[in-house]
Amino acid sequence: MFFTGVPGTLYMLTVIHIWKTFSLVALMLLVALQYLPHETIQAARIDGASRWRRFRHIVLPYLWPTLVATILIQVLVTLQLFDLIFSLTGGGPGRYSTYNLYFYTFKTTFEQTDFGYGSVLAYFITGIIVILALALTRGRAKGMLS
Amino acid sequence: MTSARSRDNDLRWRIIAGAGAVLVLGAAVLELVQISSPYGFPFIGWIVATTAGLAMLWVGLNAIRQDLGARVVAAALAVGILGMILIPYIVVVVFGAFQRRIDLMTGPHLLPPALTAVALEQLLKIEYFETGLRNSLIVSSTAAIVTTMLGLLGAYAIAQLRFPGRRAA
Repeated sequence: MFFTGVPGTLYMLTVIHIWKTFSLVALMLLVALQYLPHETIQAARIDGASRWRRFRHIVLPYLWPTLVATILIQVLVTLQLFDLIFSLTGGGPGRYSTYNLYFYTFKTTFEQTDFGYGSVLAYFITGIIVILALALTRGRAKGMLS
Repeated sequence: MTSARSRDNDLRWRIIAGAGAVLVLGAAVLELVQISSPYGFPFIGWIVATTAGLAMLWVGLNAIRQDLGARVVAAALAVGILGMILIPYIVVVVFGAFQRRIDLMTGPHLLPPALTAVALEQLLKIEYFETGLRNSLIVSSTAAIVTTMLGLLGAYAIAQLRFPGRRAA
């Protein structure tokens, strides 16, 4: 069985995580959609634009900042994925097939009691998260969000 | 006569505030004893002495100048809370990365006895790190893209399309 084997379990974890967080993302986007420029969409409709063209040229550019923010937040949340791995696979099947950095840090620090290496891993994860958080608030995000 | 009484009063409040400050600082030193003590009394003593000291500081300084005690105590509490947040992080994570395993296992050291970069050198050498990093990237990128696409479609359907039960959603 693919989904219970070594490569499939990681994808099943991903699917479960998507199922778990999908509603929150949809809610964030739903709020953004409440503020669409309805006059512009109505004008495009009168001009004969199809539903797809209205979506592609009006709705999508308008939603772009929210989409970028949503993707970055989702990456941040998923990098810190721990509970699903801990409760569903425990890092297996095998010994390390569904380990992610966060789970690896936990195992190294508290089960192998290698606090030094665990601290270095914590630095590494913090670095990635800080970079993404900075991208979310300024820097590159400035260009993407404008 | 009134001026002399006022001066005595002022001196009394100053002594109370000073005693409070000494009590708070003494309690902090007492708490350091806890590191090497197997008993819990330094911690309990620290809580009692700090509470009493802050109360004396508050009352004494408030009597000398309005709101001075409240401001000083609020600042002391803010510094204390910041310390409670930062000190474990600094001792465990910041110093932990540069300490030998034996030093980390043999009890808390406020300052590391010896510094080493072994853990940093290990970072890229252990193969499971690569597995963890790869899995993290696969899961986070897939989840971010798929969730956003599904979320966008779902939200767009609810916001724009007309269908039975839409109001319930």
